[in-house]
Amino acid sequence: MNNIDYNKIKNDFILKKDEIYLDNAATTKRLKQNISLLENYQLNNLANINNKNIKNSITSSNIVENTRTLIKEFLNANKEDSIIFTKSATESLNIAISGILNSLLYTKNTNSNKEINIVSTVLDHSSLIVPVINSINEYNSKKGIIKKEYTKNINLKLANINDNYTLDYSNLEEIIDEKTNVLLLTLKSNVTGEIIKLDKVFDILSKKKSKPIIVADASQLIGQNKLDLNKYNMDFVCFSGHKIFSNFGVGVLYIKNSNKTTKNTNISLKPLLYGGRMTQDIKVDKTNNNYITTFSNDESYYEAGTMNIESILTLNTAINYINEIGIDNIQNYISNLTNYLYNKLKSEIQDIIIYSNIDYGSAIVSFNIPNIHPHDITSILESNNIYIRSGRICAYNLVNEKMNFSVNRVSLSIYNTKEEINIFVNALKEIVRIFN
Amino acid sequence: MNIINDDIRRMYNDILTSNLKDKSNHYIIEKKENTIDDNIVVYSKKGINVNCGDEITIYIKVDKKENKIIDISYFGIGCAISKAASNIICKNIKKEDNNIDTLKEVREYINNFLATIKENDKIKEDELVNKYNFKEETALFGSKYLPSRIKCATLSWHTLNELLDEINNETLEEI
Repeated sequence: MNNIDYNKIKNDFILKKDEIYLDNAATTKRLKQNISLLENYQLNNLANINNKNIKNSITSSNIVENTRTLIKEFLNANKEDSIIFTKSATESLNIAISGILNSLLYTKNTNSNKEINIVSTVLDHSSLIVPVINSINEYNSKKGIIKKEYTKNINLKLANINDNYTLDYSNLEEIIDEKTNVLLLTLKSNVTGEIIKLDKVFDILSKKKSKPIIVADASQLIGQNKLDLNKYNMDFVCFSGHKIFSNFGVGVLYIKNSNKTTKNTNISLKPLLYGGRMTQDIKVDKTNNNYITTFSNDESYYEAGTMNIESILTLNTAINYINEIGIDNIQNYISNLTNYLYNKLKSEIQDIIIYSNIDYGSAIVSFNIPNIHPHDITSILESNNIYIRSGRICAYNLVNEKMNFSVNRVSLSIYNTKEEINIFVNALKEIVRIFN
Repeated sequence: MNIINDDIRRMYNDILTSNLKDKSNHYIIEKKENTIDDNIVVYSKKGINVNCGDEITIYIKVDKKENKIIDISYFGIGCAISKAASNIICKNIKKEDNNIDTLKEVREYINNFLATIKENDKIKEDELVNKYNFKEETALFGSKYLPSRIKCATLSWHTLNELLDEINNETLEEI
């Protein structure tokens, strides 16, 4: 760790002078090296993929395939696992969740599948919980026209939080049993910054003899904390590139041991989009007036249409950059910085309510100050070039129910410094003075 | 050294000192009063700022015979700017001798305010200050330094305007 010069890191990023950017959980700043890299690609290599006759097309294909391999190594995944490129974590989660639920719900009943039990937590971001709710509502609205032998009951249970806003693992244990079909895990809360203790979760699963399909949202965790998929057996993992320094427009869906039918889960996961590249053949059956399609067996099955090669290229650079610094170093640096921020807020802002926990050290600190609306705080800070986030921040179950409808959120990254935190906390103190 | 810039500090100081702490207009006017006198009618409308989650209801008690608002209040949740703006509009409509008397004048007052905050026109701003004896309203013009907050400053003004539209349609009388 000592050989890393954290002051130099600022120079690696496209940062505006005099701006203090503390909204990294929304999106991170971008790497400078991508500017020349993209220019070079667009000048010398620009081509769509899968045209094996053109050299540049092969280069583009290589960018995509190399990035898949790089991500597998980054996650310590197996060779047989799949890395699928989407446009966002939301798209990844939609493919996984609607695919799993459609596969479970629209099959003929046997003794064991009349009931579909889904377990999640109140920490969920909308991108995880809304696809679930939507699939359930859609199924229930069709119940009248679904044959009796296909009709199922769906139960969705969310594990609650304790009074100190940490996940209530005993509640999670209560709602998990051997009948649980699907477990949805927000690996790190975008509100409190709490990192789910996977050891604890897997202990509960083995204790309860439960073997659900696991879908994990790693959007806030990735790039800041280590994720070892060899150690933790999860079936689907989703994240986006733009929260780890890549451009917008690329998300990742990891599928364990997969493809069309994942060997682990026996789920036949359907794509969201149909079109080019995924299609290998179309035959016309003239006697029955039918079209018969043959789809690819690899990742492209879920990647219909043109890929965002430029963003995938920037994701490649970003992961290499993270590897260069070392995920452990990043984790340590951010942990120290988060603790510094937490302690400073706690000791210098009177009556502050902090929803994050001191031992998280995970980049995110959310808070409220009594009688000062978060939007007032954000916009006063914004007018002075300090950027944080406020509102319900896409976690309705948590913020609406437990945190009085709106919170302030500070989220750090590798290029933030203690000096910036000092300026932010001083500005916050001034705001408190204005309001009192 | 101050980190917060002076314009923003002034706007918040002006608004907060005079309005945020003043709770005298933060109440509900009950509709049951509608049954007491045919000429006295209570109307209300909720204004919502979807992005911020502000939800503020404007209540008015109208004397239809006199064509005047005889009571006005606001109630709900919101940020400092939207609450202060609600208080300012209530206070000034209640005030006498400021050319905001009849329903028609109330509408003129609202439209003038909304046009000025939107156009960011200093000359028009000064005209309004003279005409209506604007003081605290000008503090709201400070929200132009925070473009994302103009919606907060104008929420209750738009709500009252829409409410007057609805009354207009209902009574078919020009107000």
